[in-house]
Amino acid sequence: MSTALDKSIARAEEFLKRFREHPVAHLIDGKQDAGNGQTFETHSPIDNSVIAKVARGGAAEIDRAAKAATKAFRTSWSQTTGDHRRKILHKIADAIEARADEIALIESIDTGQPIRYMSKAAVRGAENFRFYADRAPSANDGLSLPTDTHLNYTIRQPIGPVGVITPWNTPFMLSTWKIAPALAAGCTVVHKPAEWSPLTAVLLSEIALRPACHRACSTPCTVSARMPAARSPSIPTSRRLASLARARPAPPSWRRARRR
Amino acid sequence: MAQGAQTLKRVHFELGGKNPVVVFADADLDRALDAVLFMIYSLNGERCTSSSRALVEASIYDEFSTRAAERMKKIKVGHPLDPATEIGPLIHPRHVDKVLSYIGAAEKEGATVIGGGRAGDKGNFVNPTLYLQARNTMKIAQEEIFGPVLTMIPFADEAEALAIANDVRYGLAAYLWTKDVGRAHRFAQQVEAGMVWVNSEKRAPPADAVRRHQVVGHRPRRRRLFLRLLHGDEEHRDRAG
Repeated sequence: MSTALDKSIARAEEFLKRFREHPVAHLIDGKQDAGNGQTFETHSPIDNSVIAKVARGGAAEIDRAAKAATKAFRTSWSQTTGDHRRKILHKIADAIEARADEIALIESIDTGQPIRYMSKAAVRGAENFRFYADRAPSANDGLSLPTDTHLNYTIRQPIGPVGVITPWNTPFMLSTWKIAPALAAGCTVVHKPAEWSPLTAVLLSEIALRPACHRACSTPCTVSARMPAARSPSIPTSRRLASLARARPAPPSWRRARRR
Repeated sequence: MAQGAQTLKRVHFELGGKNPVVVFADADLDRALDAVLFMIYSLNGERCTSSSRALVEASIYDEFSTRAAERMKKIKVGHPLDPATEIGPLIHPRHVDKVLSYIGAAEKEGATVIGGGRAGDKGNFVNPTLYLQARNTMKIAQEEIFGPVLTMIPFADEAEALAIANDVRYGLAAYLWTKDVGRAHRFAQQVEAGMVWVNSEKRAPPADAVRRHQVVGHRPRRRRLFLRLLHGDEEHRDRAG
């Protein structure tokens, strides 16, 4: 019996093969990084079987990622023009659309969300990138407040590296919703995907690393981090934290992660 | 947030919700029913803006809840890659335990339980659940369950609907169904939610990523109102149920 379902499962398996064979590493400063060597497992909600092993970050990994994001912010990304960022973000959107099928299938298996909804996840993610891409050229536009004697004006400047913590329910779409506006503004990002569904974050980081998206390559550092509460660092270089989290009850790991 | 305070981090949270969908007797009840079911039974109910509390005017409560229950029972639970599937497995066994724990709480507090329980013998599949004759003080009306679980509460009039809608710790989103224009604006401006949709399910433009923030204990300063202008058939909606 070869139904549409069987075919989808077979396709998903092709895409998942790489995750089954190799542990998912951190991506720090544009490079694969095994970190401290510790891993955790991500499971399929369909039967709770292991899909992949994923690098478990700690204080050191977060620290390295934040420093890389700070360097990328200071030396390149914040110095780009809005028009340049607009072009790059549109290229990211193009690449997301090109891998829409793969993103949808992996998202569906990793989260358990029905494909009828996840089939649009990538398209919506790309739409988020396009929306914010088009706002990049005017991102630094502030207010003009002239008086009799002075020309007063404000400008808006990127605040710096942003820590982005995203939830497990529809991770790809929600990650783009946080990351795209930060990048458009000229900020860099340290992303901590949810432990229960971390896989599509890998695809997003690969897309951003493509040569066509080159200037963004050191920007979205993917960090799968679970930090011990007692030793979590207060990163002085990260200036803003954006989170989509549930108020309560939150799984313990979320509470830890939020302490960045 | 507590740790970020030490280094003066600016924080931006989108948190949970126990979002009301308020259905008045004068609403287009077919569309309201579609939207009520869609906004709780799609995406496995694992959605911050899900309409997890349906407040239904008493005069239509029995009919509306009966129709909702009939539709809910037809929802297909199955493999997430099956194109026919409307509800897939929940994210994690721990989350399944949490979602199912509310059935006992609902029975204990005297609500009527329709559906629910595990589906299948492996994986994290659960059947959609509808809690009827609920009161807003119940656990199932106050806590975010984050699964395919709808709590339906009757109300007598607009004032009571507003009081119930606002009597939760959350305030992320709200949905109104009414044909009374004055009431739509009045209610939308008074309901304590960061985003309010009138005669519509959630339709969030990309810009909302930076605008929507509503937190336990924080009431919104800025409110986004979305009034549906068109009821076009051109809009393809993948309905749950």
